[in-house]
Amino acid sequence: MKLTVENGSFSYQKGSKIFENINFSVDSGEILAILGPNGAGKTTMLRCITGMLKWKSGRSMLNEENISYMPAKKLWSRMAYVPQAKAASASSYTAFEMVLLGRNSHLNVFSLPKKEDIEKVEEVMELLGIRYLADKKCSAISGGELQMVLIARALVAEPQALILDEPESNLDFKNQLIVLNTMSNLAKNGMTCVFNTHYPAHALQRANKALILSKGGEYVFGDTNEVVNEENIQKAFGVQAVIGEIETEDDIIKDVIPISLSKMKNDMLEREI
Amino acid sequence: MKKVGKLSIGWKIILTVLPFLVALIALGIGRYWISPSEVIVSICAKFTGTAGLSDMAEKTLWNIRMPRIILAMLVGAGLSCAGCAFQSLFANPLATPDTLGVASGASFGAALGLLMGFGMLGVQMTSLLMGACAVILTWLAGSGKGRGLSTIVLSGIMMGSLFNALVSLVKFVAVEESQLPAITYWLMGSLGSAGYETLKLGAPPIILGIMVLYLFRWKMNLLPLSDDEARSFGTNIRLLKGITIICATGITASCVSMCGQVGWVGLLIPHMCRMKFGSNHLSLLPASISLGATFMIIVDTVARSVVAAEIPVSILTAIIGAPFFIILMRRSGGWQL
Repeated sequence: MKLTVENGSFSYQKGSKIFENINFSVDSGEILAILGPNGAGKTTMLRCITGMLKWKSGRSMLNEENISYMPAKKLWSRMAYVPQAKAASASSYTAFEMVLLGRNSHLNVFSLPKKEDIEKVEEVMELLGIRYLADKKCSAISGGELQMVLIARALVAEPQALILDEPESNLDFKNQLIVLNTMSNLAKNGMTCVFNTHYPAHALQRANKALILSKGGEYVFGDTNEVVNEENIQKAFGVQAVIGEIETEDDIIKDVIPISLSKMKNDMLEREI
Repeated sequence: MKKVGKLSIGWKIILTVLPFLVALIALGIGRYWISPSEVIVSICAKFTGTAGLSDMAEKTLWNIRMPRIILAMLVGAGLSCAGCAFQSLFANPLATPDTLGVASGASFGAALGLLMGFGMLGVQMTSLLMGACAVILTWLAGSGKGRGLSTIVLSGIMMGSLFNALVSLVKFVAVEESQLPAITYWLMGSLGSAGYETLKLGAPPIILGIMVLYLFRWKMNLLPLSDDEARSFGTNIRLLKGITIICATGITASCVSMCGQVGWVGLLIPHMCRMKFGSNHLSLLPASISLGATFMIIVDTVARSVVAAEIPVSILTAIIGAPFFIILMRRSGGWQL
């Protein structure tokens, strides 16, 4: 499923543009990483892409179909949204109940979940390896487990595009890997994935494409390896960073290490003198 | 199927039978004792047309106790259902049926009706009207583009206190010997006014509200989620919230218009049910409705039969409810939404 944004512009108030003329597209099996400093509007961007917020101008398209004209049920059985785990509410549901809620886009207004819905939930939970959580309350499981539950909840809708808001934030190394591997595996099986992240390294390691947002609405979009470079990181984040390669037994992994806050040019010149 | 959150067959039977069983016993209790078997005989006689009990017993049963017990069932089921809906809607365990100021508005309407010397029906009408006014004012004050539910809750609290002040004003100008006690007594809640006439006007909104909420019980699981989450399941969350508010406020206004402010039921019963059945509305809502009805019948029966004069129900719901609730809370470790 191809997800495209054409000339997307958005502002909360008149006059102060958050984004202007955003253009990008992601194909089936591809992962798009959206990077940017705090407050650049990463979450706003996701909400605009999915139609939860309306673009002031421009549009989001799923396979050449404008999202704002699609009926909600049709749209949300093709695309699914995974909120930040910390923003997830209603934690007194059990993990099973929480995942089952994701079947709503397949159910009519008054219909109750049926056997096939329950089987789907069991299948997805099995697939993600969280079957053991089924009867636990969402308030009693760890952040990493909750994130997996939320991903499962999105997947039971059987979407072809998955939108994730900072899926690996607030997680430890192991849980970050679990979440990122899950995403990579989904993409390998044809899922279109878009995710927000604070880690340029994760974009380099996982994403085919990247979109870097700066405060003020400027952005760059392209293949991750071309776009996520030291220059663009400095521009967007105001940080001097180095990108290095680390060899492991079966791969070469790129990593990004922030070195220092970037200084104004004049400042640096003065020092040299 | 347990995981889905549906009630087991056993619970289904218990929850269906319990209110009616308690009602059957309560019908016989009072200063004039009628045994449950006699009650059954009389009910059968109504349907078959044969002779029932003595005249006195028939009159007590059908003209006095029956409407009152029907009212208790409706009010208990309604308030508990509305409370449950509001708690989920606002994702706040402290929400009660009065959160949007409905009950205060309806109370003001009733007090005004009593002050004007309207009959029971007139009081009921003004009460319903003012309840509706309160919600509409709350909605106008609190809703708007970009504002969340918390603004509505806040403006509900404001409307509530505004109407409470108006109630005090009515009390202040009321005649001390006759009107003031009537208003005060009415505000404390009493099911004594029950008659088939009252029910004709008051029952339909309650029954309708409960039925609609019951039909939406699976969708109601989406209420405590954030709007973005709920919307990402293809649900029109604004519509769902609107329907929930209309049903729950309609139920509440109608309850208050018939029997004054009955506190506690809308908070106590849904909480108890959450502790026992969890937060899934598939089981929570039917359980709340059934146990709310049962609880109210019991409380009202105690209120009218323990001492010679009738005890206002609000006093009893709190006296019975609070300690019971505390015991339950300590045992189960409480709950969250």
